[in-house]
Amino acid sequence: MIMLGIETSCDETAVAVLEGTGEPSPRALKLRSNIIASQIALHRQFGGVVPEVASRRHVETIIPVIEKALSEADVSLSDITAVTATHGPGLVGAVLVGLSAAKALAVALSIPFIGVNHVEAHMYANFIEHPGLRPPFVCLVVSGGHSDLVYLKDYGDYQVMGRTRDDAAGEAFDKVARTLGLSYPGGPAIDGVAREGNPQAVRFPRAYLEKGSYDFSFSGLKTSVVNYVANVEREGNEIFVPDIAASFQEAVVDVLVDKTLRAASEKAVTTVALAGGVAANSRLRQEFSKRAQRKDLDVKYPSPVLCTDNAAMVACVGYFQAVSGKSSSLDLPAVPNLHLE
Amino acid sequence: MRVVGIDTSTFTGGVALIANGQVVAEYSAYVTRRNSESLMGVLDEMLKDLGWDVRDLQGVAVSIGPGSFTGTRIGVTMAKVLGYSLDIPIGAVVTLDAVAANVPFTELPVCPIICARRDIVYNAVYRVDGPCPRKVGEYNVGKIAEVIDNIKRLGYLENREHDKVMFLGDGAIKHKRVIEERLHEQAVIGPPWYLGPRPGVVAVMGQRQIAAGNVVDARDLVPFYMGKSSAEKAQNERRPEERAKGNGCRNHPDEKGGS
Ligand SMILES: [Zn+2]
Repeated sequence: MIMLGIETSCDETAVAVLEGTGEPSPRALKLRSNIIASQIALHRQFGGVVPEVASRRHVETIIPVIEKALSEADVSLSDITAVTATHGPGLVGAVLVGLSAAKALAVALSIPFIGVNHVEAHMYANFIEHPGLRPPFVCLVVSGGHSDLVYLKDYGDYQVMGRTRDDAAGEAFDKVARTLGLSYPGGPAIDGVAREGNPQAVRFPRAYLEKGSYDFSFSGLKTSVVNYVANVEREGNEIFVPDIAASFQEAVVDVLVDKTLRAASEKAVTTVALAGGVAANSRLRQEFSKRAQRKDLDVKYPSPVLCTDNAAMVACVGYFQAVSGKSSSLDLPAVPNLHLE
Repeated sequence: MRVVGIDTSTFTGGVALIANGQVVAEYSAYVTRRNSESLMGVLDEMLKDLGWDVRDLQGVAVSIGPGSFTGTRIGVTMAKVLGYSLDIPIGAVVTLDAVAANVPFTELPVCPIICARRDIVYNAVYRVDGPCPRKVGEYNVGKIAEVIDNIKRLGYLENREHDKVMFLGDGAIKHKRVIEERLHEQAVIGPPWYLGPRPGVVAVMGQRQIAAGNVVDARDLVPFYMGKSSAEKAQNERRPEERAKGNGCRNHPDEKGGS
């Protein structure tokens, strides 16, 4: 089986070709190509993703990216078994480009179309690189658009244990980066500069919410960083960006690691997985690995290129759906605020 | 020649199939975005009804706007992917041209008006003295009052007794009151079955483009936005040096218009 995946839910136009033997197992997978046309440079001048600009660029790039994915995979269109695309969550105008492209491909090639939940796709990125990974496990999905703590019981069978009540983790990174005068996107910028800072320099608040809750809240933390910077500057002092970045990052990482490990012990799983753009954060990976080891937990995370938005992960969900005989109607709409079931 | 026509650029949306210049199947509905999204399913059904294989298609026609940005992108993306994956030519049709072509023959100048956002509209003026509309002047974007000023400047409303203009498009309905207040009996609002773009008309006009060798490569096909996104505008106001480079929408269709 050869799956073509399309992902356009935000600012990356991405197409991937994923081959599978037809077995419902990560061992069956072979990633043939994973092309990502990033729009980061385009949006940097605006300080964030501008939806209309993103959608326009997707239309311009979609065919060349499909062509490149096919040629790098060394397959032709007629080899494709099924086409799969993100139908939400995301920027609706952006999602619609990839979704419309996928439906047209399905009709033109007379093959099944499979619409995919983008958050689910982030989790499935782990299967591409970890052939031994098997459900059940607990997965933390953290990115610019979502922060979800999910118990993945089986393929396609989830329980969302917690999600953010305000900002997504990546959103907080972007906003704090802007406050500190760092470049967009904020995640890598803070990760970089924090390496020269002291994570204990400022004690920013950790929002654990009510006892037992697996939900997240990052807007209070973001506000306290903004207030801290304003206070220091009002007193006529200069801020030391690396310390603030490291301290902010530490506050985010503490909460993410604590809640995920607690969820893992509640569900008695032996593996936790990270997913999403923030899962590329080096401090997060480091802390997870250190603290999980103490609890005898296995930690899996995708390589950075599969953490940020990509189409390989979309093709991967499509693959597991296809092998279980599922496909989507060509009426499937774009759903900007699509939740995991 | 079998051609599929797609239109998702305005308040109506649909898909049509033509064979040898005749419309053989047409689906059109007053749509929301939700309906445009399902047009590939509709096309699939229509092909089955006609007993056609999708590989029988020899061309794709699509309306490229001006109109709804998000809506137009749905049809344009479907058209470019069909063109690319079936390896068939694409004929791009300006939505205003397609609306003007709804009227087969009339003595009156025809002015399709398509709603943009708020009180802004897209428009152009056509003479429909043959089977194809001939555009007079430019494609315009502006307030409804400017539309009437433009037509007056073209000299079509000079004689208050005799000169009339026919208005078509969703803008003609939305701004009917303003148009009639300004022009009284000089304004003729087109019949309701002529007001929006029809996918069958788009298909026929796109086929003519293809036959004339006026095809667009799937890679280059983009909507005819007639204007930058508001973010780009804001950016250009902040940085005048950027504007000098000219980063407007590429691939503007032939200003002479299609048919
Ligand atoms: Zn994402």
